[in-house]
Amino acid sequence: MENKHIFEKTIQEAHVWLKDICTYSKLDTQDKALIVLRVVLHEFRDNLTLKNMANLSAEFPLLIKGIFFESWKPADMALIQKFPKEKENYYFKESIAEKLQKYPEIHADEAILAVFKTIGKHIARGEVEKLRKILPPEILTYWFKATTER
Amino acid sequence: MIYNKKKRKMVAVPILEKNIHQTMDWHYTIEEECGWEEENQRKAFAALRVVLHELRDLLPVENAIQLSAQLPLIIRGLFFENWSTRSGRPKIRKKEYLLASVEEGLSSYSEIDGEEVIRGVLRVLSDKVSEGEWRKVIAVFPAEIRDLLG
Repeated sequence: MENKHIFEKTIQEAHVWLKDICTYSKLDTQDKALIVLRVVLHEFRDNLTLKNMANLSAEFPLLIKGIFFESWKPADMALIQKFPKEKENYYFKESIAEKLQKYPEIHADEAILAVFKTIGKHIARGEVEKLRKILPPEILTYWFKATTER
Repeated sequence: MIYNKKKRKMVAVPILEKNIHQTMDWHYTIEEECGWEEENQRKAFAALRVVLHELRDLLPVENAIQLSAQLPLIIRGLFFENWSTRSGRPKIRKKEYLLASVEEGLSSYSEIDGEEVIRGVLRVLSDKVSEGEWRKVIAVFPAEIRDLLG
């Protein structure tokens, strides 16, 4: 059994994250929490710089880190050093709502806050503050709310 | 959510369970390829970690990202562990440094032959990712290290 240690540990850690998302969002299953985590985490990631991505993900459990970098396609590595999505007609919440369309029981606002609260709970305060300095205004509003009110 | 009292763990998220199995499969294959008779998940995990990290830092970042897309969640997490963007361009590696680094990473285990480990892990990797992707990876390997693959 000792051999399974690393896997069991990272799976348990992932379950804690999913449970937190359920708690913060009132979702009833971890399956749904995983959907929410994926969608919000990916959208969030695509608004970060490469450096922030590296720093933030360094604090994630292995499995969450794997989800964080999943289907990551920086089309242009030079672009990602700026905010690739800081462009006209891009709205964080709308983009997430669109991806959650199939799940009418999940609201984008709640999903964003639940994931941000969960991240805030599990990473160092310093990292939370660092992100406050660099996030685009729309996302910052959520980030601030989630990491202050929790 | 199903709580399995006997196993004392949550089995609610099939995709996470699937990932455990995939990851275990990688480890068994690594043990086989490295010619290790005794089953030791930690040793296989350590071998995978050190070779993946060396490989990641050896590749141009675009190649590293593309390769990571084909890994199972937990292994992708491992791939990006301690990832730093500070070293923007790949390090120029000599075979002897690579060997030393791998042997150092595995210094707490017995029966370690650096060359064998590198060859073994890379063989597993080449087996698990698509042929096209592997060809791209090989193409950017330093010649000395490509030779290691035989």
